[in-house]
Amino acid sequence: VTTVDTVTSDPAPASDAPRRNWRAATVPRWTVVPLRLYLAAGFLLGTAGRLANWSGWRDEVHGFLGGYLPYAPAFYRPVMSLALQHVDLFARLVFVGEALVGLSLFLGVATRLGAVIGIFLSLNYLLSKGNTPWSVNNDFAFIIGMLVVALTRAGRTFGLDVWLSRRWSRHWIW
Amino acid sequence: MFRAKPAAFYSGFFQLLIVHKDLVAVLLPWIHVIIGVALVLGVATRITTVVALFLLVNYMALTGVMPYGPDPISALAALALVVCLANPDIWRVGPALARWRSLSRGR
Repeated sequence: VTTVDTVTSDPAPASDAPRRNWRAATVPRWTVVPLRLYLAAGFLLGTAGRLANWSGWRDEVHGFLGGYLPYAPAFYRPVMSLALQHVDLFARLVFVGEALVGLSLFLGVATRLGAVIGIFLSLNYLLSKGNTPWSVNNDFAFIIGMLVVALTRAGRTFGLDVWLSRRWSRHWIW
Repeated sequence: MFRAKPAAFYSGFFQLLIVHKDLVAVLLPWIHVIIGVALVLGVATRITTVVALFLLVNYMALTGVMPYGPDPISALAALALVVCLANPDIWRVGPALARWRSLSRGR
């Protein structure tokens, strides 16, 4: 495993260094690729279903917002009320956002930006449902998963970010 | 009430679980606690995630959840797979305990 293909905080650790110094620990980046593809599949499959039945998707968003409004935390209810008033716009925004996140994670393009948008979306779903981070729910698991993908720059292995990072190596979005 | 929708290939094993449901009901919470404590402390992390993955795959087969769907079971399985593959070598209690024991023996 080369240092290019690993997630490391210190360059080129000695053979036994990871055991002594946690900052020098390295993990092969390919270990995060299955998680990246899983998250991509989660977003893309939902998007494909909505393309097939757009009017049903608008009603689904309306039902979701109206149904979960009483369970959402008080500070988040104004956001949900606003979304209910503009349900067409929010249905489109969520669709576009999820499609972008899914494509970004699947192709490994601008993976960090895609993961950050995915975290924002999942955080909104979590708050809408009134779920807590310590309960077993897919929204928080998605947030943690995309945080791992973003922190490890998962698109730089088996993703198009390999080429983008060669051209613009210092940009944060890949 | 939870209603299982086991996959076809799983129905045989599911029948076995039903026969021994009392044992399963006692074992499962303990296994969950052991997995949770082991992952928090970082003790035997890889084998723990393998056991966790085994349980999660069983839950998927039991409930008919697809591995690629946005579901808590499959999401946890994806996270457990990363932890298992990455074989975390940091913040583990096991190596720290081993070092402390060797130091206390003057080695």
